[in-house]
Amino acid sequence: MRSRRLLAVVLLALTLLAPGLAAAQTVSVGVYLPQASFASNTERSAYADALARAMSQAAGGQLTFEARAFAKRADLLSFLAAGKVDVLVTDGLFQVGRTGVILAHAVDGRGEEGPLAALYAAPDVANLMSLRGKVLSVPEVGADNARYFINAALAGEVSGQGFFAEVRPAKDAEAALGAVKAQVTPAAFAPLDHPAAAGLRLVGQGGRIPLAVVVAPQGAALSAPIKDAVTQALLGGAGKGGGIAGWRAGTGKAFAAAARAMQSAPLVERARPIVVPASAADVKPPRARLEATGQLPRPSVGQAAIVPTLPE
Amino acid sequence: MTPRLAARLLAAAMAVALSLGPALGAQDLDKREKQRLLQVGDDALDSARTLTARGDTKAAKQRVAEAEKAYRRILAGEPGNKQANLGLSRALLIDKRFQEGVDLLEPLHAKAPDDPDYTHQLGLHQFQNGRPQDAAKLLERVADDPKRFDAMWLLATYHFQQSGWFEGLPHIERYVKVRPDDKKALGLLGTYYLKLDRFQEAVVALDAFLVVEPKNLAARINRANALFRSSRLVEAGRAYEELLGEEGDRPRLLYNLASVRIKQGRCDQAVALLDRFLKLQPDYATALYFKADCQLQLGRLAEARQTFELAGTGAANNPWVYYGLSQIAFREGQLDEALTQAERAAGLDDSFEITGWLGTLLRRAGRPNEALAWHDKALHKTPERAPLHVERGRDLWALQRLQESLAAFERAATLDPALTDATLGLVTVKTAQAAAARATGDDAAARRGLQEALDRMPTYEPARVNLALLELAAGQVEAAERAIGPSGREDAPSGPDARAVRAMLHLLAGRHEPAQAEIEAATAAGTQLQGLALTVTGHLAAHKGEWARASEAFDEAAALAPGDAAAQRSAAIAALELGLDRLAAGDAGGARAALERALSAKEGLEARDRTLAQLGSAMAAVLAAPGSEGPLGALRQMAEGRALAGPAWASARELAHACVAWSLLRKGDANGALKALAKVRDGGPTAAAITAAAHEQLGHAAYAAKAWAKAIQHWTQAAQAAPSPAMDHNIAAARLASGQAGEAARTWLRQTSDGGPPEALYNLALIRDREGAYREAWDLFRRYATSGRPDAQRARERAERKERLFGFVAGQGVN
Repeated sequence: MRSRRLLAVVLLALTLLAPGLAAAQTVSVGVYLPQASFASNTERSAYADALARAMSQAAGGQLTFEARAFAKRADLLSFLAAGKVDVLVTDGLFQVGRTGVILAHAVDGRGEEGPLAALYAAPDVANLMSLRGKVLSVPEVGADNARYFINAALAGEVSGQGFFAEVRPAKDAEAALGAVKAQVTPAAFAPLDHPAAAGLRLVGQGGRIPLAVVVAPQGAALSAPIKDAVTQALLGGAGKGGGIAGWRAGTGKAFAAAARAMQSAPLVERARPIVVPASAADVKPPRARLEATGQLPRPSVGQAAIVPTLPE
Repeated sequence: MTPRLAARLLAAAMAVALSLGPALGAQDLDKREKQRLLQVGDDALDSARTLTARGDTKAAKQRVAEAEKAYRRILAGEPGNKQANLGLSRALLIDKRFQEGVDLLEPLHAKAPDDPDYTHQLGLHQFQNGRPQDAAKLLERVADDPKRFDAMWLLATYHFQQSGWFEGLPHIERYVKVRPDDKKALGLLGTYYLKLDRFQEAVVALDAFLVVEPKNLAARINRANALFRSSRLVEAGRAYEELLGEEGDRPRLLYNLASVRIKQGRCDQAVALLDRFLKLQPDYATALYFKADCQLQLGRLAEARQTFELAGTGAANNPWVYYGLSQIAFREGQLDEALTQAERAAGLDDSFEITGWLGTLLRRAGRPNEALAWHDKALHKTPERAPLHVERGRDLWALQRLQESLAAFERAATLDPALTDATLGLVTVKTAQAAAARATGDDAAARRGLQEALDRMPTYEPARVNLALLELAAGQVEAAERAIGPSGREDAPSGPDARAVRAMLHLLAGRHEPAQAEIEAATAAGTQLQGLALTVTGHLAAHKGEWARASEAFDEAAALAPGDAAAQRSAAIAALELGLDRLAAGDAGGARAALERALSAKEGLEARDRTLAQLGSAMAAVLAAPGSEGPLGALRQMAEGRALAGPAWASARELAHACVAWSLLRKGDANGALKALAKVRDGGPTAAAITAAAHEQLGHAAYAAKAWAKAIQHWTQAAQAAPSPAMDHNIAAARLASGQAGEAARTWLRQTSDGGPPEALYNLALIRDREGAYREAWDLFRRYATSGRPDAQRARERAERKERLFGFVAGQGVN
């Protein structure tokens, strides 16, 4: 362990020194967590700054991580398109279908990779049937949030196209739930137990939202020292807040499941019929009584005789 | 003067007178005087006897003195006067002056030794004077004379004391004869008879004696003993009981009464009496032995053993104790111990009981040679004892020395015609000899021997059975019927072997029900005629078409008689029929096993049946391992080969092809199956089922390859071969997959109500889901969830989810 660390430090030193002992490199860290439960934007910003500091610290002063928190998906997309984000800490749903390499994933206080997906409705809504033909809110996170939530929170039991009149995006979970509270929409998809869901009726739940992943958007282009600094910082205890209790290396199961949910048609549309299994094993073999021609010989006693015994 | 003094003086005077007598009378007297004096003396003696009988001894003594005086006066003048000498001798006898009598008579006897009177008198004096042996010699010479009964009596008592029963008996008999009024002598006579084992006469004599002396204890005991010894046990028992009642527990009476009870077989009472006896004489070994023997008879073996051992302690090396212990051990099934004890007994005593018993044990132990030696030894002691000859016959039987055995039994039967064991042995040997004669093919000798056995014992079952079998083998059914006799008659044999023979007779006459009843009874009772019983059982089962049972019976019969061609052939045919039965029932394993047995029989199947068995076996092999290449290839080769060529084999051949098709289907080669079926002209429902299953299989393959049209085509052909809702259902699935949801929905909707496969519910639910008819879909999922089909759990989960999300409750509203 110790030798590995030593090797990492040496490699970091060589890398940093290689450009001719220039000044410390700046690394851009984007933070987009629209479904995390931050109490305010200030808290969200403070989280991002702390995370950047921790990464810088992990780099031993050789790298300077600068944080930028995004509140809207569109803003992030434009930054990414401009190549201005070296490291992205984002909601898992955002990353579904995108390029880049996931370095780590978050876990909550229970060790889960994130909360379940849920459908919350206004208290007067009886059940899902009451929402047929209605407009719903959904946090604008990934490419097809409505499909994800229908497949996750409702297990694909309604059609993505015809059941709701519209699934309207909101900038984050808080905003989506806020629309319900403001009676703008009768229901909204959001993470289960989101603080903003208080007072609303839980209609359905399922799947698991990958609460946060840390991504190298350019994939292999991200240098090893940066990756090391990022992972060392996160796995060393940084990046906690907004419901995130820690980090683990790798993609995590919730991300893969979320990807499937977002990319599949709802169950009611894709379910295949079942067929009656083949019955060859049940087919009885041919049976017929073959008739023999032989006759039994006439019964005879042959040489039968009894041997008398002499009782004592 | 006191009377005593007077008597003394008188005696002294008489003595003086007597001593002076000869001197005074030295002068011979005339004849008349002598006659007178003789008369005086004789009268005085008669008077003295009478007085003695009355108990007046004093007066009697005076008379004796008077007689003596008279005789002495004669003798003083004539010392050789015989009458006077004899008179004086009698007087001295009465006066018990025996030495003087001897002194008087010895000289006279010496001078005339043949004189019976002197001999008699001298004998009497010597007897009384303590020389009975000398006296007896003298008295024996004169005792024949009826007048000399006193000599007879003395001799009778003398010999009685000497236990000279033979010597004394003539004297007492003569005495009783000459003195019939002396009834008391009968007591002595009775005792003599008892001692000489003339028990009946003893009882008569003692009965007569007891009339005059009814309380005489010795006579009563002797009478009871005589009754016992003459086997008049009831009277003896009563007599002993009376004596015990009067005399209390006298040991000898207890012992004797116990002996009576033993003889009467009332061992329980005997043991009680012997217990009372043993309280008085605890160490009396014989009583202990008898008690032990009684306990043995009563089956109280542990007590008997204890008592025998106690008896042995009191009488070491008593062979009868070991004999008893041997019997106990034998009764307990400990043959070795029984032998050890018997050998110990035989080492101490060579009585026939012990040696005979040892011989019997040795035979039981499988040592008939030694047994024979011991029985010979016993017979040496008592050659006329019939039971020992029976034992010897059994030894020889065990040694297979049948002729000698027969002779031994003949001898026993001659000695005791009522001894049934002898007759039984005799007929047993004759029957065995007849069986041996039959085995050598000498049926005439066999028949003769059996007839002789039956002449001696008409009910002897083995002889009747063997005679009936002999007649049956000769084809003489009626004679066989006569030999065995009808069932139910008292004189007809009813054992298992006879019933087996009767079953065969019924079978041959076509009377199957009684044959069945008889053979079941015979088998249950363990008949020796196993082969015959199995043959009958096999034929009866075959008659009912129960080939499994028939085959089993014939197989066993064939195993018992490997050289019997008929038995082998019956076994082969029954195995073939069984195999074909099992094949038709679809029991491949059972069919194959039976057919292989049929094929392996040495004697047996005709060519066509053999081919049939081979075909059946090949088919069974295919059925047992569907799709397996080896059996399939063999059957295919046979179906297409020469063995089944020609119109005569058409149906069998087509069955073989159908079987090939079935196997190919099970192997997954649906196309191969359809090709094989093409060789079956009219395969019936089975061929149709195979065709349908083959197309069904091909349809599934196409469906899996998403070749929807091809799947529809095969499933349609399957439905044509064997219409099936499953095929309609699957066609609908292929249609849905190919975008024809409406048609699929119509099919499934119909099937949900007309008994189609449950999968229709599930698939219709999917369509309803797509249509947004969630409640209807929920309801259909729920119904499918209860179908028990493989996907039921999936449907249940979906129905539950819909309930949670949509709040569906059964019976409420629609979508």
